[in-house]
Amino acid sequence: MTDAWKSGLAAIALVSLPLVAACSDTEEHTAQGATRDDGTLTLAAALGAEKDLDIVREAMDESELSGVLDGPASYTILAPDDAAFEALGKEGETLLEDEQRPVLVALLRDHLLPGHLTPESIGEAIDRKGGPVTMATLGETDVIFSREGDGIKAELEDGGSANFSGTATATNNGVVIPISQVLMPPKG
Amino acid sequence: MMRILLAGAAAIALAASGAYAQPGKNGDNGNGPGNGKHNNAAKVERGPPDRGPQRPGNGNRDARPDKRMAQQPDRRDARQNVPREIERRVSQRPQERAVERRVDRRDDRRDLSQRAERRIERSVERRVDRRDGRRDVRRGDRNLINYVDRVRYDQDRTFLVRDRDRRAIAGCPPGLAKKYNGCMPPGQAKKRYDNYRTWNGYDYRPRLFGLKNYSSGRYYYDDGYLLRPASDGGIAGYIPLLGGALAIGNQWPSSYSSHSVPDYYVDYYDLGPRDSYRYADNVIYRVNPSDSAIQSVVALLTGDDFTIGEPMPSGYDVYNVPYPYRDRYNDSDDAWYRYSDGYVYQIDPQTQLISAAIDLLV
Repeated sequence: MTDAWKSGLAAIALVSLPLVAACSDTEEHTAQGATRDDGTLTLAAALGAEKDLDIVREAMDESELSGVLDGPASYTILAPDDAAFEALGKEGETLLEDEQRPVLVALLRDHLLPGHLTPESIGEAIDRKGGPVTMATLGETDVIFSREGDGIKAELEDGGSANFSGTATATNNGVVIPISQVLMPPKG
Repeated sequence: MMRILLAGAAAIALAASGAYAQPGKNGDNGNGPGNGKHNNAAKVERGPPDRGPQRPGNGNRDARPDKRMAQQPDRRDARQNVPREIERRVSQRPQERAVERRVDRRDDRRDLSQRAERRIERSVERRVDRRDGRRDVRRGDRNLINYVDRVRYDQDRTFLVRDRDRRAIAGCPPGLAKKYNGCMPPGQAKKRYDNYRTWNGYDYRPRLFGLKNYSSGRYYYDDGYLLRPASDGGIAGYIPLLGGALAIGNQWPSSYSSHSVPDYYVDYYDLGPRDSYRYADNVIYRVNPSDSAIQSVVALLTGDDFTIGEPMPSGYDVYNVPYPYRDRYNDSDDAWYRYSDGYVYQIDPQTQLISAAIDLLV
């Protein structure tokens, strides 16, 4: 699985270098944990610029959903970091096979939310409601956000859960929020 | 002359949406929209009889069956305060309140937001120029909120309702029929597909693939299709899958029905002529008009049911207005805003009813 995901990542890294450099100034002035705000980027560009999100970007390309990330509509992507995909182990080994591409698409759709959600706005909603809040996904089920320690946890209904990790990026057509695990759908 | 016409159209739109607005709010707005999963009884109640065409039913959609929130105070009472409500909207535009509140800490972001908004407006103007005369896209005051006419909105949403009436396509997928020299005879499919029912313990079921309009039950998977087994052990029907049979480069399956989307969506998603896109199962594809080959996935839709005057569906607890519009449509004590499938919706914080849909093309 790891080898499969990492094939081609060197090329992605090379392509991404200018974008990373372009973002570095903004990053320097962004407090750790606060959403980095860059309306000059698209979701696709922001994914390409994140060093720990190479695999999810490759997965978006492989799933043929990358056009959505460059489109006029706004989405928030809960982006599992590279370690999260590698942790799938054997369970995820087949996801990059052409035959199972529909499953990869399905998995990623559960990580896409309609509109522009920042961790800050999610936190405010949790606090305002006094408990977990629910957001629709573009996939099978809703995602539930709740406070966990100082951070925020995302959990699919009857499915997997993950914590927000790294710095979110707000772009002109959505938000990239890194998360620590792949949100697996409910079994059965 | 054009300016007068545009102002008149905007006033009509404002009045039409205002007819479903709620009275002024003085109460606590502490709770965001939500809780819908515990209040599905509200689905039964409809709006007043004189509020225009009724929304068609939900068909056989089995997704999120309990999405509606509790029914709120009588909307008929709310409409008695329409003039005052319109006046309030005009004099207290959300973006003005937002700017007052956030001007110190968000100057930089607003600049970026305004630049992005101007880019979108220029893009829209280019698109409208290409489509001259087909649709009256108002390009007047940038600060004017373009409430969508209720009747037009209901008409525009009918494609979503029609799309929910789906079932597996009868017969055998063309590729498999060719592969096996005809559709599999009774008994053979079951024998072949006993190992094709799960992926790592996940049943190949329509909902796994985001398909909410099909019956549940047993399915197999092969060659980019979900296969519905027949009682005699053959294949009764099939569903083409995004990324599988509906992968980029594949020809659009002629048996897989698609629907036209309203002009607003054509412009919003920049789809071009009718033969250059397909819409099915909450996905918009761009296709080559000459051979119907899929070129890209343009957009994924939630298909969630937002009806003006009705409770908002659950799953929208968090403020999610797109970047270029966040300063203009910012939550306040008077109105909340949520985004879904190309529209921003105005929500009454007290009643949590959808008071208006907002056109984002201007």
